[in-house]
Amino acid sequence: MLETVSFWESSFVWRDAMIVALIAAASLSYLGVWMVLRRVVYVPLALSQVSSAGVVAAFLLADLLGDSGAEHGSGAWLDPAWSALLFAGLASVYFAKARNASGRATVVAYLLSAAALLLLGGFIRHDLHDVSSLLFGNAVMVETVQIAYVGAAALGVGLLHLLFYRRFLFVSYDADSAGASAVPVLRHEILLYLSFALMISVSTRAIGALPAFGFSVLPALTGLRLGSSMKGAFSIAMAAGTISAGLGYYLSFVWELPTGASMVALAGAILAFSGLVRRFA
Amino acid sequence: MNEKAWIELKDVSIGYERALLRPLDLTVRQGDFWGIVGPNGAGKTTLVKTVLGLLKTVSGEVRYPQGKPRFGYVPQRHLLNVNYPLSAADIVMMGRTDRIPLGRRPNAEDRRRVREEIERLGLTGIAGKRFGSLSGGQQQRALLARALVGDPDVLVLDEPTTGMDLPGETGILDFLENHHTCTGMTVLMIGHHIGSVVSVADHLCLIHKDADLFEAGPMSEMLTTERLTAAYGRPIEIDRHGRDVLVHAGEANHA
Repeated sequence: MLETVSFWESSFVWRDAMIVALIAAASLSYLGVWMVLRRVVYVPLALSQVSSAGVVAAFLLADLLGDSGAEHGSGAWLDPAWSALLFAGLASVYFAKARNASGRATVVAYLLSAAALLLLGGFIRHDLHDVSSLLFGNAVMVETVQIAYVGAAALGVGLLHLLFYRRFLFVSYDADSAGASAVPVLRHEILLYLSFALMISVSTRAIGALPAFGFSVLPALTGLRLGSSMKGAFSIAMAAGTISAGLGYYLSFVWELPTGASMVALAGAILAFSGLVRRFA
Repeated sequence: MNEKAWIELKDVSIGYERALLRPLDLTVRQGDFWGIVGPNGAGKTTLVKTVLGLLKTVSGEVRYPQGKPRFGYVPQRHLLNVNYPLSAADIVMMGRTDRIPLGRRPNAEDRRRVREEIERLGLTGIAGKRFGSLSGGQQQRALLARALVGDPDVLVLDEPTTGMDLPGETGILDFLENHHTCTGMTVLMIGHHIGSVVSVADHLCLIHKDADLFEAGPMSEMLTTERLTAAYGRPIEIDRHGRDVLVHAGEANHA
């Protein structure tokens, strides 16, 4: 009980991080259902790596041009956040165009951006800690401004999916029939992948790569295991994601565990529990 | 032959970046029922995807003299991902996607058309069931309903009876024949079994990329032992009993 009181009393410490984690978890869990159904579960991993390469590229360009503003992440000639989004956006167009070969495209993008990160990272003059916090975020403590970034990205993705849901579904399920029915396939593939890129890029920077990838896969698997309709799968996935984020944060706080790992472990435990529910229901 | 042409291919090379066959000609007129046959890997699906505009031609162009028709497409069933938690009715509603404005729900007309096609194809009792849990024949009828619910000008089917038992196959073919007779809809159907294709189609397209063979025309001209033998690379015999035609593999000549 002592820990519980302590947790609530110190809400000013975790409030922003919790809000960001809940928004990111709900949004990524929803998008995860699409990624799992489309069998592109490595896309979030690749997008997170590509957006990291974008951050490093921004720092490097700033160094080369003598622009010191980039280290603060704002007001720079090339802001690392925008650069990350630009890189992730370009990668998402590449994945969408690859269609049937998207698995290969994902691996190529992941490997090349990982190599670029290691090769170019050594040339950056900024403090390694500054770069790491921009690259991989921190689920324990986030800046208040991240609520606005993650919230705006979630709102944008939500609106996009409200508008294009039926077209995304047709194109994802049966691209040939959608194309034959005059639904522009490539345009909708690109829009869908851009929504992945936006949410993953922003979330990785806010809460870290591990939770962002975990929320993109594990709650979606739970949703698809228990949901009997698309609506059901989305709802269960989002519920599993937000419970993992909220309870995971709480448990990590009271038991002094790594926060991102606690959230992902809880999402995994919910997935395992869903297997039991499915078996005995 | 007085009907207007819907689709014209003149000197068109089809393929994925490289031509599969010599340039081919094909004219599909309003009300035609084309059967497309050939051995596995002959280029049938490539031809159909080119006609639908899903694949670019290697050379030449596909022309639509009356403007691009509305297509209803029934793909090969086994290529679809059955893990999607979609009911048969959800699948059928997909066929109305391009008619539903962005961000809107299906209107009364969309729902009426879906109900109508579900009833017509005998799916009423199973419309709410998950698509992946249905039998092959039921899945095929749901996909056919999806293709028809968009009120297409041209219905295109890729091996609609593959993997089905005899009653299932006969049911689909009877439906297609009746639908074509009643509505005059133009149909292009890739057939796995030539016997089933010749029982419903009035035009036949023989294709075999390895033999660089492409022949197309009215059924009466195309249905000859010589042509079918050339297309399949083995003896094919044709038995005619009044209106019924039986096509079967003949004895291989080992002389």
